[in-house]
Amino acid sequence: MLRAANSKRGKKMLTSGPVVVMQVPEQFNAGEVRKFMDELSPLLESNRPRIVLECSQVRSVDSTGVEALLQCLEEALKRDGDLKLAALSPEAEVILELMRVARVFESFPTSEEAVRSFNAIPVDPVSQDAPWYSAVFGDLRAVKEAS
Amino acid sequence: MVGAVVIVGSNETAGGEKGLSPSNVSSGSFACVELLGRTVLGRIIEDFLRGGVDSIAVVASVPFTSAVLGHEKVGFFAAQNLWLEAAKRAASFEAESVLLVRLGAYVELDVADLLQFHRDQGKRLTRAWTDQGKLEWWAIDPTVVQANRELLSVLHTQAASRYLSRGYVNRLESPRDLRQLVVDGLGGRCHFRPQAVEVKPGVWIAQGSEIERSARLVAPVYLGRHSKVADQCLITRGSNVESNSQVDYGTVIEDSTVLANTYVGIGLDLSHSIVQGDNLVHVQHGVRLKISDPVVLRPIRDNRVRAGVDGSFWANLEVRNVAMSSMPKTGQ
Repeated sequence: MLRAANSKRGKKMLTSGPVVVMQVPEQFNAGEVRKFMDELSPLLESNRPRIVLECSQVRSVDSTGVEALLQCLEEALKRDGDLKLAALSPEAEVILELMRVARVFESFPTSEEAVRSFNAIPVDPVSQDAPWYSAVFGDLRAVKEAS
Repeated sequence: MVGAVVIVGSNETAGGEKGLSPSNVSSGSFACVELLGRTVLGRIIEDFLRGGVDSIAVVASVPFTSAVLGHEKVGFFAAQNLWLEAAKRAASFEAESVLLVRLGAYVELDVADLLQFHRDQGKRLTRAWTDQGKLEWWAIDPTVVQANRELLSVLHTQAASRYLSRGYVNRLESPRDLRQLVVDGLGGRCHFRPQAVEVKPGVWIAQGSEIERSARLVAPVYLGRHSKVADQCLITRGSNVESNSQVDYGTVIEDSTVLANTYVGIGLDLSHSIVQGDNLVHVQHGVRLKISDPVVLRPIRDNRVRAGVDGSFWANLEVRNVAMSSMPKTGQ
C-alpha cells in the first residue's frame, strides 16, 4: 500500500511500508543530482533499503545522473536492499540501453508493480540436504500421488 | 530530348492528400543522406541517365555536395523559390518532355515507360501513383511550363493523367522508413543495392574500410568507404556504417545506421537507432537525443566530398528533442 509524503523540497515521495518511491526529476543533471542524492542518501543508509525510482518525468540525463543511479544501486545492494526503476521515459530508456546499464537495473512499467515486486512472498530457505525442487514442489512422492 | 528537374528541399507539396510527404521531412533530407554508399538523389539521377534523360537540373534551397553533381549532364541550381526556379529550368530545356521530381521518396519507376505513357495519353501532365497514393513525380509537356510562373501552380491547376507504378517505393517519411530502405537494400528487395563488394553472403564492404581481426560482421551488414571497425565489435541485423565512420572497441551495432563521418564510442550498445555526429534517433522509442560527450558520439571531420547532410536533416525530425550534456564513463 502506498502512502504519500512530501520530501523536504516538495518532491513527491511515496512510502509503502519499507518501500520508498521517489520521483527522479526531469533534468537529471549535475545540479539536480546533488539535491536528489541529499534526499536519497539517508534512505540508502537504512537497513535493507528498498527504493523505487520513478522515471516518467526524466527528459535529460547527465553523466552524473547515470553514475548516481549506479551508485545508489550499489549502496542499496551493500545493505541487502535493492533499488528498482519504474516508468522509464523513452529518453531515459534509450540512454540506459546505449550505455549498457539498462540490464543492471530491474525496471517496471509502473511504481505499483515495482513496489509489489518487493513485497512478493519469499520462498522459504531450503536445507542443504533437500532436493532443489523441494522449496516449490515439496515432497516428490506427494506430488506424484496427487497427479 | 528529355529533361528532368529534381527539387530538393521544398516544404510545399502539390496537394495534401494521401501519398505526400508530411512537412517534417518534405525538405528531402533523407533523400540526400548517404545510404549503402550513395544517396537516393544519386540513385534517382542514375536511373534518369540510364532511362535516356538528356539533361538534369537539381534545384535546392541550400548548397550541398554530392558526387553525382559532377556528371556532365547534371546541373545544380540554388534558389530560394524552388518551384519558380524549377519552372525556369524546365523552360530552358529544349525538350519534348520534362520529368519533374520533388525529392522525398525513393521510387523505382520505369522512366521510359512513364514517358511513353505520358506521350500516349496526350495530356500535358502525367502524375505517377502507386497503390498507396500519389507520388511527387510528374511528366510534363514543356508547353505548360512558363519560366516566370511557379511550377507548383501549374501542377495545381492542370489536369493530369495517372501513371500507376508498381515498382518499389519507400516514402522516407520517418527514420523508420530510412532504416527500412537500408534493410530492403541489403536484403535485395529493391534495386537500392550497396555500393560495395559482397565479401560473403550479406556482408558488404566498401573500398578502404578497415576491420580488426576480432570484429564480427554478421549478415546482413554494410561497411562504407574508409570506415573502421575496432576489435571485439559486433555489427549485425541489417546495420550500415557509412563512409568514414568509426566504431570503437567492443561496441555492438544492431539494426542501426551509422551515417557518414560519425564516431561511435567504446563499449556501447547501439540498437534500433540512427546516429550521425552527435545526434541519435532511436527508431523504436521515437526519441531524438543530442549527445555532447565526444567519448560516446561525435562527428568526424572529413574534407572529402560527401553527400550533403546538413543541420536540416536533424532539425526536421519531429521527435522529442533531449539535450544530454555528457555520458558516464562507468557502468559498462
